[in-house]
Amino acid sequence: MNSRKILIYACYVLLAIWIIFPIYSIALYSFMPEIETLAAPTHWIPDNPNIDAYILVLGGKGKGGETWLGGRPLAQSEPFKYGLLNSAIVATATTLIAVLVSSCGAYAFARFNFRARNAWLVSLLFSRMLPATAMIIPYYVMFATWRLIGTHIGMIITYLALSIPLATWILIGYFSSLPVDVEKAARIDGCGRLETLFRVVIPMAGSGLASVAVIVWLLSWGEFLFALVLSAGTPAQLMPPTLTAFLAPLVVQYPTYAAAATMISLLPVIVVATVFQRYITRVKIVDPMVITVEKGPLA
Amino acid sequence: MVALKSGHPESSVRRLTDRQFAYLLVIPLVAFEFALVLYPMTQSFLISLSTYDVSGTKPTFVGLQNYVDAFFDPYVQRATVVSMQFACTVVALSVLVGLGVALLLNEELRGRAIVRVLALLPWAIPEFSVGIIFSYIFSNVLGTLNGLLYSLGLIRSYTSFLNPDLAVYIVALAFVWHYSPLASFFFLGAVQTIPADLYKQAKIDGAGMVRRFRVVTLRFLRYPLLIVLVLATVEALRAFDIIFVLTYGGPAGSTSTLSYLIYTETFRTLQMGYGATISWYLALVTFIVTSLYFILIGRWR
Repeated sequence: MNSRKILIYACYVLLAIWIIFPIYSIALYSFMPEIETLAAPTHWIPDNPNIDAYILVLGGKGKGGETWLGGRPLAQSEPFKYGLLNSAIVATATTLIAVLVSSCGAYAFARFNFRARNAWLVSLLFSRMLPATAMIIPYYVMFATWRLIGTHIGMIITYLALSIPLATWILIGYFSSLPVDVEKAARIDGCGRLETLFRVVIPMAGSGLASVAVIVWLLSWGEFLFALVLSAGTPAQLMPPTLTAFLAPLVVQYPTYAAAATMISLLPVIVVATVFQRYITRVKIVDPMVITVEKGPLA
Repeated sequence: MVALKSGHPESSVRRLTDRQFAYLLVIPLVAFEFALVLYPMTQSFLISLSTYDVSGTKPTFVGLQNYVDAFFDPYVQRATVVSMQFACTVVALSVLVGLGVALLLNEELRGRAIVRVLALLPWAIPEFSVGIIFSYIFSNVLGTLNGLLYSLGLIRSYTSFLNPDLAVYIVALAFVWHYSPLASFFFLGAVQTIPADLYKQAKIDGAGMVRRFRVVTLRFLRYPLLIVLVLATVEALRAFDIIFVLTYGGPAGSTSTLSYLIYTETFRTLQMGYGATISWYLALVTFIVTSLYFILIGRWR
């Protein structure tokens, strides 16, 4: 072990502390009874670690048969459970539709030349230039007209609008890196156009689709502002506003419950990010403007 | 897929030219773009040209009056300064941390796989959750930072870190925690493309570690650096969730960035027209700053 290796391992340790310390901070409080959270200095290992807060936040009963009232009406502990469910439904549906729509679109951008192709590519980028707060007002007005506020469909539409441009942009790079010859061969062998796309191209782009799916899912699961304005206080209320709604007074008053709820909401994120880490980090953003499109017809 | 086997839809698709087929594939995408991005954007611009409050009246067209007002509004000026403090901190730290972590992850050592999984994690955690997490660190009642300093005997009593002087930098630090993994994976992608021979050659030529970094590594980092600068700036100027959760723009407006001000103008004082104006003003600021990067990095060789 030379000194260079020791230095690198020391940096690994520093990096691990930088990443784990914040997560440990909140995890710590989620296993403590209320009173212990106020101990100074912090108890770095809880005296009696327990998962009462997790059970109560999810609407279960505590050891003494009590349910969590949290200084609010009983109904307030319910939305967190439903918030999780709503977010899971919305994020999953968004992911499926976004991958389908953007892979069709991205394939067209990657392989064919058509009118206003570059103009559409630029417009995909526009969606990211304006702050989300600017889009919120027109969305609110539009959704009020279409009666979409506080509905699952409304939230799915919103997240499709946020994720499709990004998903398309990434997938264009992916499709254009696949060999055209395979598609040509498929066409010569009598495959139709749609068949070529769904049976040949999309299976080849499997890892690209997986990475896009993971990114879109994470984005829809954790989006906050639109969820706050368009879903808060409705039956379709998503997880983020349910969490922050009982957070503001909680950080001081009920740190255990806020920590437990946050940990529950992070669990799927941590699992997904760990399992699919390779797909996410493999994404390469390619400038679609510079992709050469086949001039002649595709077989 | 099942429908494809029956042959009917496929046979009608077969008759299309490539260009027509491309249109067919792009139509859903384009329809979405129109209805959900371009149309609301136009609406937002029209709203920014009118006074539109929640009193139930129709928006009244006032031309560029809102823009003139915004330009001289001391709140907007203050928020611009705060936005700049926030964005500069985020950009500088993201580049430093991102590049450092990238070089670290590029080392071929045992345990690298685990470190990689860890290194990505903060990016996957949603921005608003990062706000919650960091409020547990910096709280003056139960914060773990206070606890740590106290345990180490560095402070005698718990202090408030989220004070008007420090708050904006602390929120920026939390944002960097969340954002820098993306920067490091952009840098890592570029570092991995550097041929190892170049380093060997430089070593033979007698270049030290610092010089090797400057001559070899930096040359390959120009493009990813540009991407990271642009993305970090755009994302920092858009940042909202983390401020909303961690500080509510306070204390004393010290973390009220432009994007937070847009929210308060729109939803607290309910001046929707004026809120929309500030968001286009912010878009303009973003555009100017990112153009500067393109010009500066374009010149640098």
